[in-house]
Amino acid sequence: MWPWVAGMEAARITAIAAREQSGVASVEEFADYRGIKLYDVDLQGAGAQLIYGPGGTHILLPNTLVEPAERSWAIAHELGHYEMKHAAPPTNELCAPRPRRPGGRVERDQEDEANEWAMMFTMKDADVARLCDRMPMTLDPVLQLARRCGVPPVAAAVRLMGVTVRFCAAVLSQDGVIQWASPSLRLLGFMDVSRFPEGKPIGAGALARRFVDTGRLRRDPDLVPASAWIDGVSDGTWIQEHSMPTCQPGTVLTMLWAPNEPDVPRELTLPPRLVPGVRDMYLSDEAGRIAYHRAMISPCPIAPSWLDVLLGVSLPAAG
Amino acid sequence: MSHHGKRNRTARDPIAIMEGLLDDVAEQAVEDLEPTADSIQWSRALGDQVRREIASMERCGARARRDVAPPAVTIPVEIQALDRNTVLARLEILRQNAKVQYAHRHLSGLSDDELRQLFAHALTLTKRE
Repeated sequence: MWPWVAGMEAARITAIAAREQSGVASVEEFADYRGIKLYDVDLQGAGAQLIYGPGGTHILLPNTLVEPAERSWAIAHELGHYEMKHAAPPTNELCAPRPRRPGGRVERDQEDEANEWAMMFTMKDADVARLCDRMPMTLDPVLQLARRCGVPPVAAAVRLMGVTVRFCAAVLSQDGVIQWASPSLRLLGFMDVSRFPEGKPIGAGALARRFVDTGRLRRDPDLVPASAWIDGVSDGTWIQEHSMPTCQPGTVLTMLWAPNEPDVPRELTLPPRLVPGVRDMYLSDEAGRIAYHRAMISPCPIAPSWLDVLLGVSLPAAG
Repeated sequence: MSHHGKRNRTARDPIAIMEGLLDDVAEQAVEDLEPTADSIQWSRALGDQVRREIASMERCGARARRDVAPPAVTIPVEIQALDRNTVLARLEILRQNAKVQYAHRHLSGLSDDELRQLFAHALTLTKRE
């Protein structure tokens, strides 16, 4: 197991233990439980700042961060660093954006671990389990989870993608360009995450693309050409898209779901608590993914790939 | 309510006399009451509601106390006079001596003032309270 996977699981275990031992439900209460002081300050060079030493712990939050869910999420992220006892990077790294880690999900990543801690602390499995396997998968369960747990919809979408057994993916785009994608474990079984390349412009026909072009976004889900989102799929394939703007200007959160998905229930061997760890192992092991695809995905006799079949190669365009 | 109540009226006050009478009638009604299943259920529900409302008020009070912001950490004049490189160097010494640790979310690069703010907070945390 790679250190990245072990670190992520440690973050989840630490978050569950922190929640159970403290008996509190919100991150503000947990900060109070730990004696951590929160300061709203003039801070533009970071989304939040954690400082701790023998004399105590301070979390500095930008005084522009007024949306309660965003503020709670920033606190949760910093609490994740604190609870995971992350060591500070050299001070010369404070002067510029932190470079992205090289080499993928192999070495431990403090930012990933802090986010994972925040997700497990704020959105417990019992709340996630009620919503994660809905069909059809749209942004509705995402918004329900976000409201229930007081977190931003983007965080709720990532948490659901870590647990769901549906063939779906959450994608964040900025001005029509993919920033990141978080496919579910089942969808990853049919395609690699590289089919949602970061920096890829969203293609014509996608609702999020139309939002960029017209400034208007359809409220309901709709079938759109799968090739607008996913690299290398046939032209005749379709995917259900449900998009909404986030509180960041120009940014759109999208839920994509394979409309041909059979309604198969969750296997008992994959409870919500275990799926994120399995998914992390799968994501971190590139050689294993290739071997899995070779062994498990047989050549498809009726379409270029089984992914094309899943995405309804023969479905007519909706509307 | 007693006719010696807080309205500061004398016993001759007709309102006070009426309140006294109502008190007496209510006390007599309680003594004469034969409790039924419905009235017991009603009284328990009322008691539960009152307890819930008191607990809610206590939680709001606790939250309000927590939400009181801690006093701001002022940046001393000596730190305000430091240039960027000096602040970075002093912060690095604190970090290497494991006196303070720090972490950031979505770090895009701290300004001079933000570095001084970080240093001022760090200095307050180097010694046990």
